[in-house]
Amino acid sequence: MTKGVLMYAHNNPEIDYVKIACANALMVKKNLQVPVTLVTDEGSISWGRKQLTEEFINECFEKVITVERNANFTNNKNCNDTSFSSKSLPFYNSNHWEAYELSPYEETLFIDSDYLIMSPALNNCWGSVHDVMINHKIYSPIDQVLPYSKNIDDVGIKLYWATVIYFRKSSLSEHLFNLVQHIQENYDYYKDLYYFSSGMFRNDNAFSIAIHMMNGFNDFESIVKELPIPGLLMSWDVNDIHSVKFNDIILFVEKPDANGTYILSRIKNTDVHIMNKWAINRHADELISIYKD
Amino acid sequence: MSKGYLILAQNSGSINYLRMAYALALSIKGTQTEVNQVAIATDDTVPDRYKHAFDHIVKIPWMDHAKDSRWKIENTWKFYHMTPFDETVVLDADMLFPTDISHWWDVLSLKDVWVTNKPRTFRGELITSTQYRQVHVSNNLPHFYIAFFYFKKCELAAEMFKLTQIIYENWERFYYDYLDETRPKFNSGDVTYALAIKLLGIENECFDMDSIPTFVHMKGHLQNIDPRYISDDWTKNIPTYFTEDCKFKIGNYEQYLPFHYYIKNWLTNDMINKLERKLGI
Repeated sequence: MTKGVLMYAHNNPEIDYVKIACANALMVKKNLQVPVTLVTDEGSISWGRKQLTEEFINECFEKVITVERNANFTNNKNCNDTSFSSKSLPFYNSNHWEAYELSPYEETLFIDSDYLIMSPALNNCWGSVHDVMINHKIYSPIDQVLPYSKNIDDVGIKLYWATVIYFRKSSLSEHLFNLVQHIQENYDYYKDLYYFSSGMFRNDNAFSIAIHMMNGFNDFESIVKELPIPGLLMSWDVNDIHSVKFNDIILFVEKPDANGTYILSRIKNTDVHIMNKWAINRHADELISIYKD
Repeated sequence: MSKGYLILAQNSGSINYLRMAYALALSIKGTQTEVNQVAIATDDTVPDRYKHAFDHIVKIPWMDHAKDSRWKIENTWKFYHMTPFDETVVLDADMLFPTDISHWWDVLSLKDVWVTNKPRTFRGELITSTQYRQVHVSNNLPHFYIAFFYFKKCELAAEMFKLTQIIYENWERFYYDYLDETRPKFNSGDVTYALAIKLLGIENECFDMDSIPTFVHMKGHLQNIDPRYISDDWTKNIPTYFTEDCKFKIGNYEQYLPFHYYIKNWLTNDMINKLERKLGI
């Protein structure tokens, strides 16, 4: 069985996702020892080759798949660089349903480029008896509670986080990704049906709806299992990165109920979703130099 | 051994419990493949158009102890005497069965009395709120939910119902003697039965695993939802989709468990018509 990691990277005017993906690909190779495939678009990868060199891109990725960017797809997202800065930026995420077809691996870990791999924990996915694994449990660096679940809306369905998806090539996985495609193509309908407060397309929502539908519109016995980790560690975009070392990040974590004030939190040997993209961009060169052979 | 469902239904003011019991009986007939006998216990006159749904119409024995009551729970200690079945599941009238739970009976038969103590939200989660259960928590009473419980004719059940009768008839005294200041100021079926079970020391005989028996309890504030976003009348916040074949979703959740809708006007004539059509009526 071939296995590997799949990442997407579509740059926008401010965030160099390809560079983030390169840093994370090196982290994957160090911690999981599996190859990485990048799905990107021509504009993003040619900028990456210019900035980082073709040789380096080839060192990071076993394969680079270039896809057409759908010019008709507009999706803006409010992104924070801590509570002091907020911007609405284009967020190109309309093609994650293609991951099933695009992945060259029989077993794939499909991860967001900003989910930094700092441990071998996800190696426990390989050879799983489950066809698909996605987490609905999350926690944050200063939560005093056990990993918890959220719902899409107060009266809505359980929210699954498409940040990390394990899937093997199987009819169940194929159905799931096909359903996500259908939901994305009819998002306005599903947005109303599932009471989203925001109009922005989110893969988290699309996967949550697809899973809910495949579960028979209930949660008694999910067709999708949790990844073999307690939950996804989330560093929200109001946080910043203080410093990075090998598998060791110190974060400025915003205090609850005290915007703009921080405590330091050290994340070591644990994968973490850094949602402040500018923060990773600021530290991407350093991450690359730490993880580069 | 005869098996069936027993519904105590007494109209109260403008609330037509017979109509709700009728809808419940239709839903049982329309979904249950094995145990689908339904008995209604009432002192009201059952309209002719409802009679076909009930296999037994039982007069409330002795006298109507709830004649002057709005909540109509004073006769609930009589279940043991009202049921025509050897094995009975007692149901609140304001419920519907969306799916077949016939397989539960094989499990329920393993005990003499088996009580729901872990009802669920419309999303299928275990209810975590104890908002309406302060007296149970404070007095370490078992969480007895009268809306769905099983008993068979046997010594243990007879003993439990006998003590329940005594507590019903002397509820102020019992509540004062055995419960702290969180005690209700009215006679509560859930509290009285829980107290009887506790006094008899048969908690372990009557409660078991989390999974069954259970039901969806639709009091709004039990839905594990921030109370700012849901009122006790949940129908104001969550829509219902009721299909022609009588499957229904609450919000986006298909319902599989016995469904205790609690808000009486949730049950519409359209739903009853669909339940009737499903049975070819």
